[in-house]
Amino acid sequence: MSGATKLALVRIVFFSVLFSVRGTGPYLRLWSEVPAELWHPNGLLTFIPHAAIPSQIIDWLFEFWRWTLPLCALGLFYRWLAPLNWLASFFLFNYAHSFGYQTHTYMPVVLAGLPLAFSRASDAWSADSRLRPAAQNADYDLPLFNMRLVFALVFFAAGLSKLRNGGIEWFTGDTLRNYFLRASTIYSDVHSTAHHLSINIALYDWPTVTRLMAVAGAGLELLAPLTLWRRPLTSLIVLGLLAMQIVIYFTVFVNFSIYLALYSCWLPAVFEIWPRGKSRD
Amino acid sequence: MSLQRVITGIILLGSLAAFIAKRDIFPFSDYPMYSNVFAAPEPLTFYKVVGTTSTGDETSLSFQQDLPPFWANSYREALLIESAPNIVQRKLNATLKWYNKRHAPSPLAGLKLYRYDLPWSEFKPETLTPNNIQELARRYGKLEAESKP
Repeated sequence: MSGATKLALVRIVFFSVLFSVRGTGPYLRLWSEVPAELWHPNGLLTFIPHAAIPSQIIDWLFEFWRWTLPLCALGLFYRWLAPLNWLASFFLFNYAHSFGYQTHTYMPVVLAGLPLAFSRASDAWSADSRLRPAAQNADYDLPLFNMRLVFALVFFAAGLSKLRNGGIEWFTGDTLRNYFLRASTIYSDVHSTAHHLSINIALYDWPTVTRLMAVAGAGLELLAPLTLWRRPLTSLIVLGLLAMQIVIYFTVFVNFSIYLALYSCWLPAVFEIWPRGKSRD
Repeated sequence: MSLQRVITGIILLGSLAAFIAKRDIFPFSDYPMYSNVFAAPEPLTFYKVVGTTSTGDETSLSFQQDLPPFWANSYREALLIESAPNIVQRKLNATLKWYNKRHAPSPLAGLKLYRYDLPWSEFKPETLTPNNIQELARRYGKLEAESKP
């Protein structure tokens, strides 16, 4: 698999996931209806008053953003549309994070979209590649590395924060077990499937298991940077983190489906690991 | 220097800055979710927002259905990010107006924020059942703030 096709694969999956998870519903547009009294800006929006952003702007940006997602996935006018799409996503998600609630699930996806948006991801498997030849000596590896860098840093920071804020007690005590039980109360209005299975309640009776889960989860997070260098460990750590996030959905009721866009940067690794895939280069 | 090298630098520096500052600087964060110890003797505090009808009865709110894009916990966090009583009350007033604009046929008369300081002895699956939670709310609930007409 060539560098151009690897990046193209990531492009198709990344933009398709964004469209299916947040482009098909009104979630991002609805923030424009939230009263100004709840405005609590973050990031670059700290410098912009709420009144300076009319709701009409959010509506237009949202429509532009969501309808350019499939075009980016198809690789049509990618060099122009992808950077504009990224700027729109940066603004829309920053706006959604400016009412006092930080989800933390969108931030890495926005950040990982930056190297992809400014890459030559439409040099293969795209409408653009039908219209013009691929560039010579284009760098397809560094954008992919940058996406993986975001992936590694996000999990590493989460692991390090547990050590910094919770210390050793976070792993040896009942913190994770208590978070599992608390989820049933404070997240009672979301993710009914996960509530129905009540895995979090069942695990409450197994404190040793929840302690082992705490060690394994934070351990995987702290090992995430190894994915950037250690090839044999990469698939184990990435799959482990994916499994951890699925378990989190059923125990803490946090939905990480948009992270699938972030995981797309590891799809080419499948072809890097399998010798058959490699021989097709 | 290529643009992708600059992006590498932005990712590294932004991530480092957010981690050192211990705060979110969109789209960078130190990802502190669930990183604090949550066990006895740490305080065990919950909050809940309820609506009141014109007859004075309290009614539960389904935020995800009634006030999207919020859901119950995200609204509580947005409400309490600045916990000064006058700010919380101003936010409740604005939310009430917003709610009634969206639900004109069945408006609410007010919104109340309750705080529950539970003892850890009550924090177990047998106690936190849907049936028992009303009893816990009655026993430990304390009115923290309410909207003003």
